[in-house]
Amino acid sequence: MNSFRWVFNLRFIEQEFIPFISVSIVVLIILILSFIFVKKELKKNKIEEGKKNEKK
Amino acid sequence: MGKIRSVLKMPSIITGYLYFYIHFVVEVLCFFVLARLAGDSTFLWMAPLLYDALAFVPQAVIGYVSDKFPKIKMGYIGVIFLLTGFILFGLGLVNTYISLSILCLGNAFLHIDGAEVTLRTSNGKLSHSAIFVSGGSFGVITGKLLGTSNLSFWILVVLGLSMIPFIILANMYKDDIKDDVLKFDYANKKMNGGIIILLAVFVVIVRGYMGYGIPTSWNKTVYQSILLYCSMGLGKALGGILSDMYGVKKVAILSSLLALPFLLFGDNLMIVSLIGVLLFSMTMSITLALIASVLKKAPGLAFGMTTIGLFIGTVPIFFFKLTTVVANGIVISIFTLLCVLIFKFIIKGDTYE
Repeated sequence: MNSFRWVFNLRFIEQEFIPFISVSIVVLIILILSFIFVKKELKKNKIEEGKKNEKK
Repeated sequence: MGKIRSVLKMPSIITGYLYFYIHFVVEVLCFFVLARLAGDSTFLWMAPLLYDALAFVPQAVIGYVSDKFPKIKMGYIGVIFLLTGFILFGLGLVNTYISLSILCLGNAFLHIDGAEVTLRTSNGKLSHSAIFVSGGSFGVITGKLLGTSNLSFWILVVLGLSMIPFIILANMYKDDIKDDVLKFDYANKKMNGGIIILLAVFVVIVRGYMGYGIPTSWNKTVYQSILLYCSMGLGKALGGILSDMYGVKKVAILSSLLALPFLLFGDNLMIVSLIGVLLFSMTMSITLALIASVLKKAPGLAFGMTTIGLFIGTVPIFFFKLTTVVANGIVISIFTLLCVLIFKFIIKGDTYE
């Protein structure tokens, strides 16, 4: 018995192409931005930790 | 009982209760709209996907802006967006995609305000944010049920307006906190912060996927659905409360391990399955606390990372399905054990009084 089944149908995207593509682009941009923000915060943490260690 | 009572009476825990109600109302409004759209074949597939994408993903960016500009009141912006989207949808004045998008953004803004308020006022405890997130599960099932009834949407507009005093009060508590660094300290300090965030988000992805993949053949009636969502909500709240009582690491590992047999053998047994769902939902506030322990100055961004994880976890549901209980069981077992291993490494040892 096949335990895996695609529930996705290309017709979904054909019917709602513009909303689907727009949302996909928005999601992609936000994901990239979030990644950049997290990296920035981590870098800031590292600098602050370095300063703390220097004081010690 | 005395221990639970002392946790539920912690300083500023009221922010958790306030945002429990706000979160409940937000989800009622959103799932009311989604339930109404479920009757339309055009939106059957697209509306839930759009909701997941536009309510979950932007929270990281909104959260980051909120962290950097704390004077911007995200809660008020959220109410305006949420009610505007809801009224536009109800009156049918604009394209459904536009009203749904505005509604989703309102949802995202309010979630971020909830995260900022509960994390900042919690003094490093998990109960506040756990009680806040648990309100959503009760809201989802209420919204779904009301959406399939003949209830006028204007009644829900009034319900939406009732959030305003709660938001004002919650923000007053937040404004009293002067320290901008969170007191969360649960992550293993020997590990790289970036890796901890990645692994914690992975656990959220697994939980997001499993939330839909859990075998629940028993769930056939409205009453059973209500019980399912209530046990989810209760589990989310208990996860934070028990973590504050007995330690994050213990609760994370034990709840994940104990949930496995209940989920695997609960396909046809409601009570067994409900216990599994309750246990499995407990890690919700723990993953948030772990990310907040790394991003101590950015609670909004930390919360946004968990919602990105939830989005990534739910996306596969729209595309494929595991059709047999055995396949589902294997996937659930492997991922649960992986999550337990992750918790073992990324959470620092419990040191609780």
